[in-house]
Amino acid sequence: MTFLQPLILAALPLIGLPIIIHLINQRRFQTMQWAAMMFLVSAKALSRGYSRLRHWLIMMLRMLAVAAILLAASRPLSRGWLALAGGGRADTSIVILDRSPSMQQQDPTAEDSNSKLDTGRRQLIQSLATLATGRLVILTDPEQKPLEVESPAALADLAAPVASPTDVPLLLQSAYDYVRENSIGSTEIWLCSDQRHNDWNPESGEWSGMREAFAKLPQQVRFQLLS
Amino acid sequence: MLSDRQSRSFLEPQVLARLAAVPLLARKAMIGGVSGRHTSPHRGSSVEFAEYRKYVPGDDLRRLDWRAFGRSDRYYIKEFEADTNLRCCLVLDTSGSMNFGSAGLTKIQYARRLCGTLGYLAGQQGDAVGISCVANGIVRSLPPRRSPAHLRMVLDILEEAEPQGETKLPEVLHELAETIRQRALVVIVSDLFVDPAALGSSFSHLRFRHHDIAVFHLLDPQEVAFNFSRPTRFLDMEGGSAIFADPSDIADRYHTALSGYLAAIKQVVLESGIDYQRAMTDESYEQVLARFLVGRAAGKGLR
Repeated sequence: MTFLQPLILAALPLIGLPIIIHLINQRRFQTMQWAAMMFLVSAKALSRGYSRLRHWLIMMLRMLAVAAILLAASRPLSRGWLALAGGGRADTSIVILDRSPSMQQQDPTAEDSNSKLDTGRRQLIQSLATLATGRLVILTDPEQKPLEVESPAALADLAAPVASPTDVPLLLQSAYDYVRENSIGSTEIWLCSDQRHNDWNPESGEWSGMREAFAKLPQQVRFQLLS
Repeated sequence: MLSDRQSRSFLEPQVLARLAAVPLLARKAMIGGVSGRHTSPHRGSSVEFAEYRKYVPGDDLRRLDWRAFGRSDRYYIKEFEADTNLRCCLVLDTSGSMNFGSAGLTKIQYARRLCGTLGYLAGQQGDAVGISCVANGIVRSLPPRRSPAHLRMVLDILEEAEPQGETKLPEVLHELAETIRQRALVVIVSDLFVDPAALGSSFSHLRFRHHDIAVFHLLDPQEVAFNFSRPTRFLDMEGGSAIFADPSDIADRYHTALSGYLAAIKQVVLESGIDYQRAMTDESYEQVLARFLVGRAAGKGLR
């Protein structure tokens, strides 16, 4: 397990705080003359063992609560079976839309006369709504800042087609920068593209560097290609 | 006696004047030395008719009921109730626990007011007053007498009573049941921090000796509420061992024990038929006494 804020774990000794408070409280006792001792004696005799057990259970729960708060604040990241056990839902979904002129072609697989971009957008909306992702970020232009939207339905009104090719490596670089700068959790990057050569530049040296950079990220990053 | 009222811190003239309007009555027949306002078990010469009995030679012929003879042709003597005075024995608990107080007055100060006022009222209406200060035994005792000088001595004992020692009330009450001569009104003023079953036994003993028993059960508001916020070391005022407790942890069980004790006391009261008055020390003692006196007067049919 890794943590996004590992420095907070340095405060783990605070788990002992409930015990310290209890000991300080015990020292702060007052002394007083008391007449009705017979009731105190009866009260002490009643359920003595259960009282001690309850007292220690409450103390344990308090310590666990402090530990849970510290652990949550350090933002742990899980992989493998732990991630599966945690539900597998991505914390953030980044959508990269290919708006090149080739995406305006009519989709031969579609039943209506929509373009590949419209079809891709529609399928993205359906998929993201089903998966119920946490945060949704749209990347359409590397020179513009990533746009955070409230729901997948906002995709329908965004990303008008452009006349120039889409630089997919650069968009992926922007996605990498966003993930690194915002310290987000597990991330899914959705690529909607028709995989044209001039958009993807497969011979470019950027791909190997990018592969290494994404692998070094502490959080899990998955790629979904909608081709 | 006027100078006595003014010199005692536990006697308030206004309270005495208000309470004097209600007589202190016994619920049972009393045996006294002189005529008074309380019913006697013997027959006497009051105006209240009691019963008829058959004439035997030697009876006073002035008591013969001629009308009854005319109707039945038999001789009957009319008998009348006898009135006598009351012997009031005040039993004051002077154990260490009576020195506790959180509401201005300690229990012993409150008890002095109750005993002093009752004793004064009893003396004023011609009854005999005595006192016994008890703790782990009878500390000081004066038998009941009717004279003003004797009442002054009773009030002196009240004033000098200092709470100390542990409580052994049931044993002392058994001893008093044997030592108090004749029938008396026994007024017990205590916090009753003893085993209710033992207390019930001592009440039964007193009733067996034909005493009229009245109990004033004194409790402090803090003893009942037990609302502390900090861990506390409780020191026993009767010399027992100290207990360290966190009130937030123990409060519910304390209240359970207290409720059980009060229920047991209530059961004892019902079974022994005593005149029981529970008084919180933040309550006006005049109201407590008024409730006590009016309850007795109403029981006797007085208005």
